[in-house]
Amino acid sequence: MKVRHPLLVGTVLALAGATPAAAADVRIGADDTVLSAPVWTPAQVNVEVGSSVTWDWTGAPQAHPVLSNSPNWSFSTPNGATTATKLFDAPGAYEFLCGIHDNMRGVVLVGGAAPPPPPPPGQQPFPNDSPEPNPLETGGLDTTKPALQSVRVRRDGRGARVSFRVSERARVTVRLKRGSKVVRSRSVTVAGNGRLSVRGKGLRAGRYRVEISARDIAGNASGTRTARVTLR
Amino acid sequence: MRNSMGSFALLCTIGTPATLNRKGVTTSAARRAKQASPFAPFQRDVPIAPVLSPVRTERGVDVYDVDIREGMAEILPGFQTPIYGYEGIYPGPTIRARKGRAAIVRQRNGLSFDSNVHLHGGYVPAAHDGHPMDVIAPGATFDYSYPNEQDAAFLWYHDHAHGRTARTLYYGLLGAYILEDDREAALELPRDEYDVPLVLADHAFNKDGSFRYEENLDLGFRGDTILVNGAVAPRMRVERRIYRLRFLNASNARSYDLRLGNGRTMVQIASDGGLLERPLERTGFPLHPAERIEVLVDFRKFRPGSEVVLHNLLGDPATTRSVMRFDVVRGGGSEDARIPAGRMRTLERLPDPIASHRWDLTLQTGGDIQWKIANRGFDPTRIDVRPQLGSTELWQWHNPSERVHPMHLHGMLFRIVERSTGVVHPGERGWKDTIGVQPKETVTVQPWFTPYKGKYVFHCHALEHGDKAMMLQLEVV
Repeated sequence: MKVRHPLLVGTVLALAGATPAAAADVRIGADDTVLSAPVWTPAQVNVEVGSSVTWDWTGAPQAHPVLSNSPNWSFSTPNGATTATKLFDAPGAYEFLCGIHDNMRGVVLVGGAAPPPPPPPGQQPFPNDSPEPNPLETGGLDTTKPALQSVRVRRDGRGARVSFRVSERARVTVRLKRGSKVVRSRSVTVAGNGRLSVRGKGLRAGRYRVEISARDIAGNASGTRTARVTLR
Repeated sequence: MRNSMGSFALLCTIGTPATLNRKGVTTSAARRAKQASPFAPFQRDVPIAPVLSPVRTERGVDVYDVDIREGMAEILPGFQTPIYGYEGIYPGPTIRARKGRAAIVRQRNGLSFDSNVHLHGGYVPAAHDGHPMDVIAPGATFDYSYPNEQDAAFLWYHDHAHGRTARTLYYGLLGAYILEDDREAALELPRDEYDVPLVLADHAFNKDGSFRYEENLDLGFRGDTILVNGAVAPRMRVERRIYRLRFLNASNARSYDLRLGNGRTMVQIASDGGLLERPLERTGFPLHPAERIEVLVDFRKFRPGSEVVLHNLLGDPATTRSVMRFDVVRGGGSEDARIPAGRMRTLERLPDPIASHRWDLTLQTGGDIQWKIANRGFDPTRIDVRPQLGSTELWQWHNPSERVHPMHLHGMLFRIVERSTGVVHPGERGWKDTIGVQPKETVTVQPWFTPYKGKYVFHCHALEHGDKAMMLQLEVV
């Protein structure tokens, strides 16, 4: 969105089109194309003494009650009105603004009066001349499952020792099961090569099933690798 | 009709950066020319406001000292932007308080005009609430006493001197006030650097880098640049962990409808007045001025190297659409926080309402141009409604206008009963202190007039509306 300055726009419009009018009725409308920065069209009019100016914002999406904005006149709009008219019978620069949109300003130049000076640079907008629209997202969700490789299971005293390689940083869990019951379980978070032992007192001799699985930080799980080990 | 802040632009342009340095001449224009654009998004890491430490503790009460003063902020590369700030910074320092542990914040007004401080969303005695007419004169101090007896919530503090909040908040007088409690701690939510307040506000700039303000009594101010914690649409490096993001809309009058990346899920856990009853998965949410919403985002699910843009569907695609970007980096270690799955709290049952009021929200365009509530503008000598302490009432906000009105009640909280436009979203069924009333909508809320007696105000938090003069006064008796 380019912020336009009403005075500058008005000046351009005035230079482009407006010519000093004979005593006549002149109409000023409202342009709400940029809803947050409406402008008067034209924002500057040159009229002869004895002319009347009508501001008309009938049908505009927002109200634009006209107020005088220079000490040489006093003018306001009745509640609810969408037009306002003023007869100018003395030369001068009559500045006006919208009572709702502070920067919606303009001037009626009567009898060849000079326009007021532009605002100082510090009050002129710094155009927000940025950017192409950005992609909303790059990368995206991690849906890659960790892969378990080189899994080796060996008896290790009263238990089993498992060595493995995991394709990404993941939490690797080794379960020692007898029948359907998990009798020992250990986990480690590791990237690359790892090793885990499941053992301890109280493990009876017999055949056990060893299950190895990995889950990464995004919650993706590898398949479960299994092996059998016989404890003596 | 112009208010007394005419000299404000002048005040805010003193301190223009040095434009000429005779040896090795550097002008602000030259500095600017080195930047592709001072408004390009995602160029800066999101700043996090410092946490204020108490200067002392007296009998279990934490005492803080804050200076309200002018300061300089580097918001656009190579420019200094004059601001007003608590401790001279924007946003002001964050205060972290704990339920059951009172705090006193001594505010010293180092500005050349009256100021005061409102703790937005706080259960605060009337004399310490920051009523628009209770001001701190230039050079004076006031000790704001905050009991901190309410449940954990993301509150904020800001200027509330009558008739100029649109300017003073715009120029920086606001900060976060985070209240914590045991119930929240038991939920094992993300903490420390994983618990991040994000203050959203739209701004515009003058050619010298100063903030540009344009009054628009109808729409309210609309800037063409989004700042998060005082940086132009910044980026935030996030580890593959769970983050608690606390969003505050501190814009004058801009509403947001926020989305994360390609519609990624966020888990809303809290609104203005603290935790919801249950966590709520959302792919986006509206955020009107002064509202807060807290979400948990699980960045563990994203690939390292992902860049995920938080954007505002209501923004202009070329300028105000992008709010900030989350850059997912490797690592993060083991996660000890969790995302709650079940009930987090049970909201108190409210007493039955004993009265009802209808408040029409309208713009008067003739004579003294102003916004009105029930055909009245703010009059500090008039009490508009006198609810009984401990009671509840039904308040109906009726909005025939074309603008959103974020209606805010001081010193108390309410629950939303009904919206004429549809069901009340579960994310709005917790405690609220501000509600965005849509054009042509009627919303019924049930305030609970507790815990203190005294004079408070309720008003529209589109700041231009509240300043002129969409604010009424209540006295809890």
